[in-house]
Amino acid sequence: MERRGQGLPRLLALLALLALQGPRACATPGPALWPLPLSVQTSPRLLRLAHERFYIGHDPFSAAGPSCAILQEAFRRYYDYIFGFYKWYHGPAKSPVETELQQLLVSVVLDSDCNAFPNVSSDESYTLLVKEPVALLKANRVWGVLRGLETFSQLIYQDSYGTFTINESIIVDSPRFPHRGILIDTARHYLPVKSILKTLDAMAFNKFNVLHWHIVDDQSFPYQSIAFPKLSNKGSYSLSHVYTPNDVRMVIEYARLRGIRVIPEFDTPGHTRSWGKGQKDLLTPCYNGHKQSGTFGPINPILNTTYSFLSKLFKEISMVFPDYFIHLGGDEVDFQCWESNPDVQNFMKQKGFGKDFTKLEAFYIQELLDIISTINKRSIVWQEVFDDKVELQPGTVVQVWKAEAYRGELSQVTADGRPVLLSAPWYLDYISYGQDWEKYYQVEPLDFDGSPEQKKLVIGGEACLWGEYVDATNLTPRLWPRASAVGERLWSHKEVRDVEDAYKRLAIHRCRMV
Amino acid sequence: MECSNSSDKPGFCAASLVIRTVTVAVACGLVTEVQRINSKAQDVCPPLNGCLGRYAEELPLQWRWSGDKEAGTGICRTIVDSGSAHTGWLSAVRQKCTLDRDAVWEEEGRKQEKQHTLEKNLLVIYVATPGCDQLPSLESVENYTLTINDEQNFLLSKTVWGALRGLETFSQLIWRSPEGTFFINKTEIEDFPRFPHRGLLLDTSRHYLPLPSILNTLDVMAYNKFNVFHWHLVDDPSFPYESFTFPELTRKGSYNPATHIYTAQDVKEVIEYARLRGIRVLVEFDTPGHTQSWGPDFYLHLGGDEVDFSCWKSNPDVQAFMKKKGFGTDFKKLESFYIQTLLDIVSAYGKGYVVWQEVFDNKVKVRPDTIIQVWREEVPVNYMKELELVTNASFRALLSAPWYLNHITYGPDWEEVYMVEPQAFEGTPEQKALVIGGEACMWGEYVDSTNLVPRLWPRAGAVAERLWSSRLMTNLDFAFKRLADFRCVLLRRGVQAQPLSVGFCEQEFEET
Repeated sequence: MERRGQGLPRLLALLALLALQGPRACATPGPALWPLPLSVQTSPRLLRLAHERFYIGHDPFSAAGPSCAILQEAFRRYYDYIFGFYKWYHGPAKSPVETELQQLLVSVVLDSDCNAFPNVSSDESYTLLVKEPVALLKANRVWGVLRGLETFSQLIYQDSYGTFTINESIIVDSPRFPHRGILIDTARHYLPVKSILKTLDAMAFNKFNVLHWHIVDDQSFPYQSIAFPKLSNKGSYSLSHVYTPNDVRMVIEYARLRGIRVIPEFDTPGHTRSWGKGQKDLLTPCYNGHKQSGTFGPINPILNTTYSFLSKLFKEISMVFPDYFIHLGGDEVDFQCWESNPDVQNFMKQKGFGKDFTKLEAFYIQELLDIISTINKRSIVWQEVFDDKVELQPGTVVQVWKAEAYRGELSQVTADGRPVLLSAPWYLDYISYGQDWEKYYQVEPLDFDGSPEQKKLVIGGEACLWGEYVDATNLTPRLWPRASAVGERLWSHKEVRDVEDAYKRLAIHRCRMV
Repeated sequence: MECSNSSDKPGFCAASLVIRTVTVAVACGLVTEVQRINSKAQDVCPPLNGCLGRYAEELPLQWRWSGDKEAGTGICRTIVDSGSAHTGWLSAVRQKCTLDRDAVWEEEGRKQEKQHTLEKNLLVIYVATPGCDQLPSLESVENYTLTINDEQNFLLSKTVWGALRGLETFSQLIWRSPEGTFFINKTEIEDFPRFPHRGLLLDTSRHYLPLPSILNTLDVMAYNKFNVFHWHLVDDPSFPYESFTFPELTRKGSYNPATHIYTAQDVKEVIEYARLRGIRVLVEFDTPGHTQSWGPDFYLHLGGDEVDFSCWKSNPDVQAFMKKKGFGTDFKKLESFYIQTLLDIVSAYGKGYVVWQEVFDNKVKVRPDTIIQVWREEVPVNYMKELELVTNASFRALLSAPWYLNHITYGPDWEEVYMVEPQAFEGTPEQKALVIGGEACMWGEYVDSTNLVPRLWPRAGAVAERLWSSRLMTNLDFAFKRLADFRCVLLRRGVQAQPLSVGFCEQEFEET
C-alpha cells in the first residue's frame, strides 16, 4: 500500500479540518450523501463498477446528446471524480461482489438548456435509478443531470478489497430553495482566478448554484472595465491584481458548466473609495467647515455626470455578466460626508428632503434601479435599501445580512411582498474555536412570523466569506466544510436536521473533497 | 564571549571575536567559493552550506549601492523605533538602522558625488568557533554582527548558529526597486536573542501531519529565528511513532499503521533537517524507553498534564495500591508517584526534562534543573502568577499560556500575542532570569495539513519576535508594517501565510 495522498491528484488539498471525534471517518466505507437528497431508498444489494469498462453515456431517448458540452464535460469530470482520486488496488484479493454495473445512462426529458445559462427558476430536479446492469439518471434539464451526477458519485465507495461498489438505489431529489449562494470578496484581498475556479468546483460538490461575486469595494477595483479602463488601472492594488474581460468570461463559463450562476455585485453609493481613483468627480468631496478636506465620501448623488457614468458602466456589466440579476449593494452608506458638503445641502433643500439623508440615499438608489430596469435586469440589494424605504420595483430581491433580529427583518420584507435572501446567520468570515458548522446547520430560514405566502418569498440564502482576513492562502480551509452546512440547509428537506447524523456524513464528505 | 543572552540593552556587544575558520563567498546569488582560511576549520560545513544554498534561491542576481535618494539608501546607525519597511522581522532592535533619509543624504553628499553606485557581490562570513557537526543546544550562542558598508560586507558570529541567524537577517535586508534592481542599505547590525528557548509546538497525535508538513514548518521557523521544535508526538487519540521496543504501540495505536506513522528514519530526518537550521527537537513522550534509539536533545518533554483521576478512582487494583502506599484518597500522590518513577527512569538516561505545569502544581518532587512549562491561562492561578511561583521555587520556566495559536478569533489576534511580556510578574531579577523562553503551541484538535500553515503563519511570527527581540519592542504599528511585509516575503518563499489585514502582496499565493 502506498502512503495516503501521495502522488494522487488532489481536488481540494487545503480543505479545513472538520473536527476531532471521527479520526477514522476517512477510512469508513459506505456512501454518505451531502446534501441529503429528498428521498433515498437503498437496497443491500451491491453492484461493482470496473473502471476500465464503466461509462456514463446518453440515453438514446434523451433530449441531449454528444453535442451538449455541459454534459460531455460533466461526464468526463465525474468519471475522474469516481475513479481518479481513489486508491487503486492491485491485490490478488477478489471482492465477493459479482454483479457489475456497466453504465450510467443519462436522459434529459425536456428541452435540454445545453447552451443556456442557469437562472433562478432552472429545474434542478432529477431521479436516479441504480440497478443492474444499467443505472438511469433522468432529469428535465441538464441542471438536474449535474446535481444527479454529483449524487451518483457520492454513492460509490471502495470496499475493503478496493472494489468500486454501489448499492442498488432509487433517489428522487430536488432542492428546497432555488437560490443557494456563496459570496466571495475580491476587493479586500484579490483572489487569483484559480482560487475562484476551485471554489466553483467545491460549490458543485455541495450543490450550491450561485456565486455572488463581491468584486469591488473601498479597498480595490480589480474589475477591468472596457468602457472605463481607468477604474482598475488606478483603483486596483496593482496592475497584476485585476480581472480582465477574459478572466471574467472564464469564470462565468466554468460556473455555467457546473450549473452555477455568477451574480456580480457593484456596491454603491458607499464602499466605493477605490472607484474615485480612476473616475474624476464621481465621489462626494467632504468638507471641513468651508473648505474641502481632501477626503471623499460616497458616490456624489447630485450630479448628472454620476448617472450617465453609472448608466454606461452598468450597461457594460449587464452585457459581461449574463445573469438576470445584478447586485447593487446599497449597504452601510455613511452620511457624514454628504452632510458636510454645501452643494449636497443645497440639493437637499431644493428637493425638499430636509435633513433626512436616507431620502437622498433613496433618491440615488431609485435612479440606479431605474437604470437597471431599462437594461432589462433585475436587482438584488442589501437590506438597508429596504429599511430606508426606497421604493423598489417588483421582483427586486432584498438580502438580509444583519445578524441582529434577522427573523423580524425577514417578516417585514416578506410582509411587503419582497423576495428575500438570507445571509445574516451565515457570515463565515467570523471564526471561532471549535465546531461552528453546527450553528450554521441548525439555522431554519423559514423560522419567522409570517403567512405561507410570505415564507414562499424566501428564495434561498448565501454563505458569505468577506475578505478582510481571507485571501488565497486561507480561503479553502475557511470556507469548506463550514459552507457545506449551509449547502445542506438550503438544498435538503426542512426535517433533515439531526446534527449527529450530519456530522457523520459531513466528515466523510470532507474526506471526499480533500 | 561576554555578552549576556538575555540582556535587554540594545547596543554593541563587547565581545572579542577571534576571526578564523570558514570564509564563504556569495556572489550573484550563488555560493561560488568556500575557502578555508584556518586549518582547523572544515571545508564543508553542512549547516552553513545548506543555508547558503537555500538563500541563494532568493538572493539577488546583483546588488547595488546607490546614492539615489528615492531608492532609499541610508546609513543604518540609530536605534529603530519606527519607520522603514526594509528592516525585516525580528531584527529591528539591535539593528542600528534607520532610513533617516535627509541626514543620510547630506552625509553621502558630502562624501561622494551624487550617483555613487557600488556593486556588492560578496558577503564574507566569519565563524569564530570551529564545528559544524554538533547539535544546537539550550546554551548555543546565536549572536552575530552584520556589517555592510563601502569597504566591506561581513557577517561575524561565534558559532554556525549565529551565522544562520545572520544570514536570515541579511536576506531580509535585501529589497527590490520597482525596476527590479536589488538593493541593500548600508547597515550595521548587532543582534542576539533575548531568550534562549524559542519554541513551536506541533501536535501530530490529534491529527497526523505528513512529514513534508513538518519539514516545511521547520523552514518557516528558521525564517522566524525559532530554535526549538517541540514535537507532541503521541497522545490519547493516536500513537504514530514507530517504536522498536514496543511495536505493538504503533500497530494498534496509530490511525493507520501503514500510512499514519513516523518511522525511526522519519524522526532522524526531522532531527537533521532541524539541526541544519539551528533548531533543536524536543520530543514530548510519556514512555521514555523509546527515546533511547535516537533521543536527539538533551532535554525531553514528559508531558504530565491533565491527568483524569476518575478512572484511577474506579479501579479496585489502583485502590488497593493506594492503600498499600499509604496515599489515602489523594490521587495527586499517585500521580506524583508515577511521574517520580518516570523522572527517575529519564534521569538514568542522562537527559534533562521539561514538564507541564501540573507536575509542579501537584508538588511532584522533581530535580532542581527541571524546566516547567506554563500553559494554563487562569487556573489554578493566572499564568503570570504561576511564573512567579515557579521561578520563586528556583525552577526554570517556559511560557506558553497566552500563545495557544490553535485558538482562533475574528480579527487581528496576533496583536494580543505580540504584546505579551513574559517577565511581567512580581519577582527578583534572578527570578526573571529563570524564564528561559516560551513556545507557541498549535494543538491539533482542529488542525491538520489542510489548514496548519495559514493558521500558524504569520501569527507565530508575533511570538517569535517577542522571544527574540528586546522587550522594548512594543510598538504595534511598527510591528504591523514589518509583519505585513514579512508575510509577503513568506508568500514569495512559497509559504501559505494568511493575511493580517486588507491589502495585497506583489506575489500572491497561487494554487498549484
